[in-house]
Amino acid sequence: MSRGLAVAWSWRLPYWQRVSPGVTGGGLYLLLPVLFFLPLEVLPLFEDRLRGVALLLWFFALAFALGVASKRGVREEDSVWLLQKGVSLGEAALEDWLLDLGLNKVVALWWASIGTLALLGSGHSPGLLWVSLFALGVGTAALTQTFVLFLSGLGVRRSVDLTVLAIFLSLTAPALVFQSSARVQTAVDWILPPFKEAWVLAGALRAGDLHGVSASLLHILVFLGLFLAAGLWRISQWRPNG
Amino acid sequence: MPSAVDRPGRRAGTPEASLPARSGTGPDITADGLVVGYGRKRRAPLGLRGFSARFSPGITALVGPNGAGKSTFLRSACGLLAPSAGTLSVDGTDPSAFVSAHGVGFLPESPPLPGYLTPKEFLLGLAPEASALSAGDGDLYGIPGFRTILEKRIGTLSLGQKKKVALAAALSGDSGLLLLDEPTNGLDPLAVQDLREVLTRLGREGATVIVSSHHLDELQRLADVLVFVDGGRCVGNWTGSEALEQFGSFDALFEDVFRGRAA
Repeated sequence: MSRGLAVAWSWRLPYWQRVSPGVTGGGLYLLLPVLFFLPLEVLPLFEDRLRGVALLLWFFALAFALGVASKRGVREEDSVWLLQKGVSLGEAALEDWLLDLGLNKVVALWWASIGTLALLGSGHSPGLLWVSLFALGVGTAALTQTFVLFLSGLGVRRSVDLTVLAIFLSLTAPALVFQSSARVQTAVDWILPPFKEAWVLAGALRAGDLHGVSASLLHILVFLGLFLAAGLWRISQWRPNG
Repeated sequence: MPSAVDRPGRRAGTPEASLPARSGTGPDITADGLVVGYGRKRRAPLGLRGFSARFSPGITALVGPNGAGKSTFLRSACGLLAPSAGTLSVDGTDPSAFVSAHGVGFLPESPPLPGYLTPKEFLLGLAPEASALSAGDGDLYGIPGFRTILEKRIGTLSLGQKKKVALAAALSGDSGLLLLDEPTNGLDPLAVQDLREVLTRLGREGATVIVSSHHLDELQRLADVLVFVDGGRCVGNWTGSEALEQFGSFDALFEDVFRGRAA
């Protein structure tokens, strides 16, 4: 086991248990999918039951990932201990990110399974439903935790505010630039963190649109690769109080 | 199987009973015209301004008034601050390279500790030998009472207990280089006495130990060499025996050096 992983295991598990989500918070997030069984289609916010379940799952994934990733990662104050024992800050942050991703996957798996159960009999293929809901949850969580890590690397303290702003821009950008040329729309699409791509990916999966799936996955993976690398590079430059 | 931190053969409860086994001697540290500033461009006036000194294995005390540059030197020696001019080498290499290869024991003046962890969990991430830490008899790392707080949350500990956790983190590992900034602040008299024994033993074994402190009486019992720092420069150094021979006490030497400079 690498030193970075040893740090991540011994510090991250107690963090999940005691800070975020915590035992109570974790229990609550596991119980939340009960809401999927409500008649969501009666709410004017949702067009149908499927959209209701997907929107709730997206919101859960966002809130969960934001809470876990933003409260404490490998912060600058920890770096004084890690650096003196020869532990790479970038490596420790990467291990934290991987562990958080694993946790997000487990939780998304649970939500997607309950969501699929709630939508059984709705006319959709259960397999495709499950895959698309899981992709929506994991995609949203991975994008969120990567963006928070990137902001932390830059030394931004209010990473939650900025992440929420980035999500808002990502979701509303098509409406803001709809009168612009296709080139501008494509540029905006690639510049902004692709939070809306998790939706696009889930829709393409459900529709069996392989071309759409590949395009969305590529967009998400390029963002993850670039922002993760940039965030880790900045974190590896951290020096406490200096 | 006994662990490195809990070796048999000594009386339980003595510092010698529970220190990590060290290998080899500590590094030499050489500073030549070292300039280290703070701020984005490292041009702020605080810090080191042409500091030159040589540190060998054994215990060296850094002595000087507040803001003299003692903490800045300790941070530079463990690679946390980069010089803007001059040179600083640890065992002939750049401090960051030395720390990456061998590690170092560094205790900051105000050590930041994650309150949600227990001391055991905290140390587990830093030092492989900590996996053998357990509650029971005897002191760990030579720090009295440390074993009794192993499983408590750091956030619930007193100031002195937190200092013990930070000290244990600095003492963990096998670096041969210990840099301690005000290590006795917040410690009870028994812990101060035991820390002195721990450091004396490490110094005797060949570790390079540099201690910054304002407690001159404590340093008098501990240090082999004294390095006086003022205004970011080294303003003199004495061996402990020379200082006592010439001035009778470290207090008198401090008065002579700094009152003389003030005058």
